[in-house]
Amino acid sequence: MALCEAIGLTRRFGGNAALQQVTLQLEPATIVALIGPNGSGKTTLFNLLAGQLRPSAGTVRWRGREITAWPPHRRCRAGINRTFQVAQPFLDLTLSENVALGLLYGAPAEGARRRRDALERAQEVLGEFGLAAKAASAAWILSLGELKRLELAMAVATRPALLLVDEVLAGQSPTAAQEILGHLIHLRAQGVAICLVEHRLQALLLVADRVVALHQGRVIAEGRPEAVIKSPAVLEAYLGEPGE
Amino acid sequence: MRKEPSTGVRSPILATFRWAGTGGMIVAVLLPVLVAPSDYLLYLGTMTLVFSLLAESWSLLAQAGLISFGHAAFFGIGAYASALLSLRGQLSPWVSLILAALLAAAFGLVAAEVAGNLTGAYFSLATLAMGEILRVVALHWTGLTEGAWGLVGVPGLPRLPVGGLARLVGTRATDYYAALLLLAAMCRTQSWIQRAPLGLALQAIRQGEARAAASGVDARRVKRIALAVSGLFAGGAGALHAHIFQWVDPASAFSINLSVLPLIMAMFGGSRYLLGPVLGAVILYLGNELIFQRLAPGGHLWLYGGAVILVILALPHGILGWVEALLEGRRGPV
Amino acid sequence: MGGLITGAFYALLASGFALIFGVARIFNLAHGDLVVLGAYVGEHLWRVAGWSPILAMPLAALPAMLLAVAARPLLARVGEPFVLRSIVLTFGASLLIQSGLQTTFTADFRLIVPPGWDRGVSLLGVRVAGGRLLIAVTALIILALLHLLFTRTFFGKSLRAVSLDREGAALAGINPVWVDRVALALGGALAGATGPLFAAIQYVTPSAGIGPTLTAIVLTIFGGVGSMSGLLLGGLLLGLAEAVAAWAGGAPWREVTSLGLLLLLLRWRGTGLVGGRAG
Repeated sequence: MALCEAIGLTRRFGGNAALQQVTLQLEPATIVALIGPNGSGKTTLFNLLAGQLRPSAGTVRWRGREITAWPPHRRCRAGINRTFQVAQPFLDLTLSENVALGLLYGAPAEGARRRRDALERAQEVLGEFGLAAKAASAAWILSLGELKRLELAMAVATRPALLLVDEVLAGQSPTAAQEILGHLIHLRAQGVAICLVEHRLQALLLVADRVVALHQGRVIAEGRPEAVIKSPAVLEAYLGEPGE
Repeated sequence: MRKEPSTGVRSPILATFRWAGTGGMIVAVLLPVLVAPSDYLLYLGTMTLVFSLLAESWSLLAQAGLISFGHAAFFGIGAYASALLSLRGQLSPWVSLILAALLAAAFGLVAAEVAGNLTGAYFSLATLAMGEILRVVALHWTGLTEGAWGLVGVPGLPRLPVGGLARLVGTRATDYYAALLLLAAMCRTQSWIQRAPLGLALQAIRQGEARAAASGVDARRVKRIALAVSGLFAGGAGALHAHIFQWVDPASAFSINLSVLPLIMAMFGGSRYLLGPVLGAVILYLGNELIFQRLAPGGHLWLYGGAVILVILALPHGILGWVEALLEGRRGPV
Repeated sequence: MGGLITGAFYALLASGFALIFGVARIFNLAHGDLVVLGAYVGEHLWRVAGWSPILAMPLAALPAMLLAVAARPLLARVGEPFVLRSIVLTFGASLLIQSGLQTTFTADFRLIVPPGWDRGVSLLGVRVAGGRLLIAVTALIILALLHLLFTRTFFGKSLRAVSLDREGAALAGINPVWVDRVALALGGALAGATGPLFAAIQYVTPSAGIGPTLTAIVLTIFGGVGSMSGLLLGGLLLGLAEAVAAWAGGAPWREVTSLGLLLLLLRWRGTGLVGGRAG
């Protein structure tokens, strides 16, 4: 029984099928990379897994239970958390408050009860992402790269069992990107299942255990990174697209 | 007195506000003594408290990004419920006041069910519709509410017997202190919410409900709580109003003014601040009664309309926001 | 039948509002007050100079249009979140207009009763007031003209382009600021023009604006943006629903109907409609 299963997920927007019959398993302590050209349905898949969208067809299972109808907050408490491709933290709140929210509401098992405790723990988490210095500042002062790191900190704070990471390396300096990848590897070692959407293919080769390639809403290849990246189907989908 | 920290660094400005707030509280407690024997001034004070209460309850929702255009609904329910319970049900005004407030809180839960998953402007429109529906119902359900004639002879809160204590604070001091008590309870609740996780959740919902949900916040539940608490105190304000005037009718209890005023007062004073709505109520209500009415009777709409536009265009965080910006400017960036 | 006629009128009433909302994303809560403004102008012209309401329409449209255009720079200064703050702004404007009306025209009830308008006319076997029929026909004509405007002229198409995709339209060379101005002007004018007709149907007071505003909101949410036929359909349905409610339960049920419909509509359409699609 996989930790998280997507079975035949389909999602249509009007006449357009963003995702068609996508089936996927995610296991603990593995990093699965999701690749595909823009518009191939990667973020839609994340939205379906994390609960922002309901599928037009298909189901999502979590630890064997069907959770297709569960709202996002319930899935968060169950252990699924994600970052958003367009970073949208709470701009008027301080970084600590941003992270503390997840600690207070999204982590029932070991979450903080009191605001003060949550804020302290938030400080620690922010430190792991190099944001401790700005912990007491409002989020709107952050640069794009820092915003994405904040998103990641927010997602990680709730100690999820499944972490969905949506293009977190964009806008990061090479050092920061290295640190983030190191962090993900560390999380994997702790047993977290990670699903990663990234365009920087070298990064993927470094950390991913498995790669799933999407094109026009369908899975066109799946397997070890080296194999998938060289597969004819994937090359065709990316033809004309400059890889990194 | 600020509801949310800007940089987490304690600035001397907070101290200024705190002093002002404490000063205001002392004045408030002593007011009946200060204005005796004028019954009219005491009445003004009491009404200011009632409106402050209404405005404060409105601003609780505004914290969560819920701009209510229908607060008259809570107010009217509180007014009518308390009037009916004390007049027809023969209950003591105190008891009916509490029950009426609870009923209004229950309506808050209903409102959460109806409009809970509406965002921004749509939520506001829904509240507008709800307030109007209740007004129409009150107007036409004559069996219960006597329609446009209203309910007359609603028992008031006990007056002080003339002489003795009354000479110090006036005979209607009970009304005043009841209102003050309720307002104090509301403010206490507000400040508690601000420090609790709930306050953070409210702010988060305002700034991004989807993100909040992804962090584990059950938005529906939080909105339910906010609407119930807001309704509780707004209903209490309505009930107080009914007992002060000893009369309710649809025009006064569910008037669109009652939805408009808390919005204007809270925004004008600064809905971000704990006592902002109170300040707004003091300035606008007293300003209207004491100054404006003398100059331009019936022109209160000018005052209110102008206040709203001023706030939206020039004072996004109300008077207190403007004051804070001034103070911050003077002391240099903190 | 009376319901259908009122329905056509409702659609006209809502057209100005829908236009402003569609193009500039502004919920104009002062819409009804612009209508009332036009109504007062029309009533004045009728009382003083005997002008028929229909004749008065263009003149009544003028002050409303000017106000709407004057509001544009103010609206541009409204901060985020725009939709919410602009609502509060138009709300304040509504109060100001109401007080202006009260000062200028006093608060008594006014009504236009053109001679001969209550003469009955037979329509499809049902007797309706001639005046009402005239109003409905006027409404239909104007709606048809608007429809043509939006679908046939470049000008109209630019309006629709901006309402559907602001940035795309800008890239295509359409200046959204100008389009905003035009939309506000036209929307305001439509509201004002409907005024004299409104005054012929019911009593007007300075605070009568909320009724038309609510009607406009209901129809705009139902009919969608940029679709005159959607508005018309919605208007007819609303008119019918109200007539049925009034017939079944008595007059008060009319108001409740439109309010109740509003709530239902909001539930149905109210999530994620403004601000882009989900996901």
